[in-house]
Amino acid sequence: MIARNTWRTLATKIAFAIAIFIAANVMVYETSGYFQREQEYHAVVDGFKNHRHVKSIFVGDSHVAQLDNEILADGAYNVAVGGDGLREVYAKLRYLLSQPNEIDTLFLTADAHMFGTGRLQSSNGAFADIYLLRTGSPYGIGHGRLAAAFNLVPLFNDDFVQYLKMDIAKGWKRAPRGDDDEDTDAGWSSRPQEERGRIARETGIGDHQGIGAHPEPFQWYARIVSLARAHGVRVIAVRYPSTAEYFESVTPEEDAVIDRGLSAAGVTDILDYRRVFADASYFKDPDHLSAKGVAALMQLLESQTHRRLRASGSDDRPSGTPGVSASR
Amino acid sequence: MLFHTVIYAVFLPTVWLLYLLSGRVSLRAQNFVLLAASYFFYGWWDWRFLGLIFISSLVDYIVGISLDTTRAPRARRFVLLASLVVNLGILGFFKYYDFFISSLTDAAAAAGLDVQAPVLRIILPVGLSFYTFQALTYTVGVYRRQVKPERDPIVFFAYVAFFPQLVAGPIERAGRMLPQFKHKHHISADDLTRGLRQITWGLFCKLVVADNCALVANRIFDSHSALPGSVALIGAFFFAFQIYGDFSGYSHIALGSARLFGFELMQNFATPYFSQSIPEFWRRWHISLSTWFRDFVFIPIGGSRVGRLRYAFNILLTFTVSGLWHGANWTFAMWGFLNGLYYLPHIFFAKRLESSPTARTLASNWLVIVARVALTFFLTLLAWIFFRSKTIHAAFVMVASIFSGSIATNPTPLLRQLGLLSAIMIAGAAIVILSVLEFIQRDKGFALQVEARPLAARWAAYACVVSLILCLRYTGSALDFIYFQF
Repeated sequence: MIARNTWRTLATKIAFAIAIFIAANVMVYETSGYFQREQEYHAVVDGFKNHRHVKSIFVGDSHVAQLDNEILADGAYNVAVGGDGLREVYAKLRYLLSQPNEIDTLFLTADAHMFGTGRLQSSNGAFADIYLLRTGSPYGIGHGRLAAAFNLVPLFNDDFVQYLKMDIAKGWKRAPRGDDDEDTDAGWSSRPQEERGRIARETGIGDHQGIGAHPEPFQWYARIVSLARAHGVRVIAVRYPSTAEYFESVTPEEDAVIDRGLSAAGVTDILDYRRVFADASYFKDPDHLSAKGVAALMQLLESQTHRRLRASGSDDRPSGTPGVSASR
Repeated sequence: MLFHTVIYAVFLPTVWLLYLLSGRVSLRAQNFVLLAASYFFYGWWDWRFLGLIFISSLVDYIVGISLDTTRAPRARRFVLLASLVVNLGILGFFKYYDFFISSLTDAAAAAGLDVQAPVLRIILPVGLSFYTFQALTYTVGVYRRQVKPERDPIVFFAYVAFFPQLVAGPIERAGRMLPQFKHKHHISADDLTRGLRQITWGLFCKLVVADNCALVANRIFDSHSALPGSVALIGAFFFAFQIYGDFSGYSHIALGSARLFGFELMQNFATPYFSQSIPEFWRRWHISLSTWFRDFVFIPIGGSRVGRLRYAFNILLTFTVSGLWHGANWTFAMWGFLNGLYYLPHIFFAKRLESSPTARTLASNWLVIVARVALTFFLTLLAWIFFRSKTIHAAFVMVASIFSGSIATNPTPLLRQLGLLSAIMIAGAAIVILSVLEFIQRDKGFALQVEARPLAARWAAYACVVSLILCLRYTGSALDFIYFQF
C-alpha cells in the first residue's frame, strides 16, 4: 500500500523530524570531541583578556602552540592552536586587535607548510568563523555569511564532519605504527636514527605538498601583515625548528617562492630557526620541540628580539643548549 | 547557483512559497514567478548570460509562430534553418570556436604552414548546450507539426529557462513540457513529499558519493608522475562513480525540485551500472540526451534501417558527435567514438548470438549476468579515462598502464603518499551503500522512492540517508556539477 500524506500528517512528520534533528545536534555538541576542542580553542583566544599589558602575540599552528602560555611572561601571549592556517591567524588577530590592547609585536609563523595545500582548509576553519563574523571581516567568509551561520549548527558544521570522517577512517584502518602514540620527549630521541629519519621525511612530504601552488596563503599573509601594520604592530616572521629530514621535502625553489611572498607582503624581520637544533633530544617528534627544545628556542627568541618573553623562573639555560644563532 | 549550496536552500523554498501564493491569482502569475525565478537563478552565475538565453528564446518564439503561419514548404524550411543557424551558431561560437581554431592552427603547423588565427578564450555560458537542445526540440517539433506553436511568451520563455533543468537537463521535449505550463498546478502534500525525497537522494549522490569520489579521482588523474596500473584503475573506478553520482545526483535534485512545483520531468538515469551490455547502458545513462541524439541525429541520418555497414557508420558518427557535444576537446570525441566502437559487436554479432537457445539459457544464469555487468562496467570505465583525461596521450598512457604488468603493483604505498587512504575508505563505503540501495530499488525511479514500503522501513531509509549526508558529506569547497561545464 502506498503511503499518502495530507498537509496535516506531513506537518506532523516534519515537526517530528525537526525535533529529532535538534536532539541530535544537542547530543553531538555535548558528546563530540570536536566541540570539546572548539571550547578549548575559544578558551585560548579568550584567555588574552585575562592577561593585561600584553605586548607580544604569537600566532600560528602547533609549531607555535608549543610555546605554552604557562612559560610565557606576562607581556607575551600565544593564541596559536594546532591545525590553524593563515586564515585562522588573520581571524584571531582581527579579534584581538578589536579588543582593548597594548600589542606592539606580532610573532607570525613563516613555516613552509603554512603555504602548502594542507592548510588551505584548516580543521579549525569553523572555529575561526565567529571571529570573522564578529569583526565584520571583509575577507574569509568564503561561502558567505549565511553559510558561516549554518556552520554554527553542529550537524551542518563542515569541520565537524571532517573530524568525524577522520575518526571513522581511523577506526576502520589499522593505524600505522607509532601514529597513535603521542611521542614523549624521551620516546622520540630513543628511536633509532634511521627510523626517526624515515618518519620525519614522510611527515615532511605530507606537510609540504603544494607549496606555492596556491595564491591564498600569500594573500592571507599579506592581509595579516597589513592589518598588523594598520594597528602599529611590528611583524616578526618566525621559521620554527624541526628535524633536518623533515625539511628535505622543501625544494630551494619552494623556499624562494615563500621568500618572495614574504617580501611582497612587506615582511623584513625574519627569524629563521629551521635547522638550529641537530640533536634529537630537542624534539618530541619530527616537527615539534621537546621541553628542552622549547626552552632553548625561547632563549634564542629573547636574545634576538631583546624582549622578555619567558615567565620568571623558566629562563634557566637548559643543559646541553648549543650556542646557536638564527639567521635573520 | 549550485543545487547543493545554502543559497539554493533559501532560494527554492522562497520561490516555492511565491509560486503557491501566485497560484491564488492566476496561471499566468504562476508562470511569471517561474520565469522570474529562472532568470534570477541563471543570472546568479553571471547576469551577462541572460542576454543569450533571452535571444535564443526570442528567436525560437518568433520562429515557432512563423512556422505556424507559413504554408509554403520551402519557406518553412528557410524559417527552420534560421532557427538552427541562430541556436547552433551561438552554441558553436561559444563552445567550439577556440577549439576549432586551435585545432586548425595545430594541423597547419603539423603540415609546415604558419597559420595565425585569433583564439578568443571565450567563457562558455553554463547550460548553453542544454537549453539550446531543448529549444531545438520545440522548433523542430513545430516544423514537423508534432508540437503546437506557443503564443504566450511567458509560457515559452519559462519553458526554455525552467530553472530546475536549465543548466544540465534533463533535456525535455517541448511536446511533453509545454502542456505542463498550460494548467494551474495544485501542489499536494504528496508532490512535496516525493520532491523532497528525490532531492534528498540527489544530495546523497552528489555530496556523499560524487564529491568524496572526486577527491580520490582528481588527485590520481592530476598526479603528474607515471602511475602503476593498479592506481590508474583505482582512479578510473572512482571517477566512474564520481561522474555517475554527480550527474544522477544533479538530475534527482532537478526532478525533485520540479516536482515541488507540480512538474514531471523525464527520468534521466536508470541504474546504468547494472547494465549487461553497452546498448543497454546507453538506454539507462543520460536518457534525455541519448534519446535526443537518437531522434535528432541518428534517425535523420538513416538510423538502423539501412545496411549493417551504414548502420555502424551512423552509430559511430552519432556517438562521436555526442562526445563532442560534451566538450570541445578531442578527448570527448574519442570517448564518444570508443563508445560507438563498443556498440559495433551488437550490430554485427549480437542478434545472431542472442537468438540462440544456449544464449537464452545463459542469459538467466546469475554468474553470466554478473560477468556481463562487470564487463560492461569495465568497458565504460576505460572510456571514462578518455573523458576525464586532459589529453588523449595522457588517457592512452593510463589505459596502457592498466594493461601492463604494473596492474599487479600494490597501490597502498602510493595511495598513502597521495594522502588518499582515508578518502578511499569513505568514498568506497559511499559507493557500496549507493550500489546496494540502487540494487534493492532498481525498479524504481530513485532509491529513496519508498512510499510503498512499511512505515518503519521508510523512516529507517530516511534516517540512514540523511545521517549519511550529514556525517559523510564532502566538506571541501563546493565542487561544481561536472555537467555544468557542458
